[in-house]
Amino acid sequence: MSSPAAPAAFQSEVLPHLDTLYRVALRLTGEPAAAEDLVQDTMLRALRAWHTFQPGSNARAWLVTILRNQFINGWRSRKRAPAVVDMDAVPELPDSGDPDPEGRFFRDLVDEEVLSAVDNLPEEFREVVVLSDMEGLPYAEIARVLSIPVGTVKSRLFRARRILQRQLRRYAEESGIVRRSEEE
Amino acid sequence: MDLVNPSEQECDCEAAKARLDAFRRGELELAEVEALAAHLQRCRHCHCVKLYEEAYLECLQRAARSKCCPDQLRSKLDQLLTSPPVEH
Repeated sequence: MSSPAAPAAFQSEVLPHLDTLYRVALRLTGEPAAAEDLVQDTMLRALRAWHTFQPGSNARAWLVTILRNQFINGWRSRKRAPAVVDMDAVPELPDSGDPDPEGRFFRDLVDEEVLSAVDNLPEEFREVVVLSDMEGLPYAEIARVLSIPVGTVKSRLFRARRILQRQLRRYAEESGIVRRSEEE
Repeated sequence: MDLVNPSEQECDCEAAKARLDAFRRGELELAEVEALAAHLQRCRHCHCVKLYEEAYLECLQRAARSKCCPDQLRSKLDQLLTSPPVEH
């Protein structure tokens, strides 16, 4: 096993990111128990690969990359099939004649409903929303984690937000939080 | 007297919306920030789009923070890391 110094450095670099890892795992797997298992697997894999981590580099991106690889290799097949979205049927918000053009309704949404809407996004969109809009990773970090160009991160995020905002708006309308748009 | 070419105004709105994300992330040059701020002051629609996007992001971040790593998992990992398994 590694020297005692390695686990100490590992703990100081890795443990501050446990909440992020758990939240990302939860959105990927959709189940708390599976998310816990995925985080634990990720930690064990990270511990074994600790010698490859470059001190001073970004531990969060390194860990999320490991977690995502673990998910793809061992977990994805257990996950439900992603929803198919017709982008042409998803107009931009706020639109003209919007009764709430500043999006005040977002403040009144229930967290669980927001998370449920995120979970219903197709996987490639869900990943960028979770990493960018929920966890605040920069574009470059997300690009590294997902192994895609920064431009692809931006375009996926643009489309993902459009779908998600529409979904949240629909929920707000159905809940009576906001009046229905004229177009509907 | 300010005369705005309609096609330029349209382009300004598109450019403004495209730059909002980079603006929030502090990734714009000073001249771009000033141009965007000037546009937001005179364009009600883009100003609303900015507020809409900010409200959306606050909503998602609040929902994200409602979930944390469970204490039992944290304890399990603490234990795992302080007494790592022996490799064969």
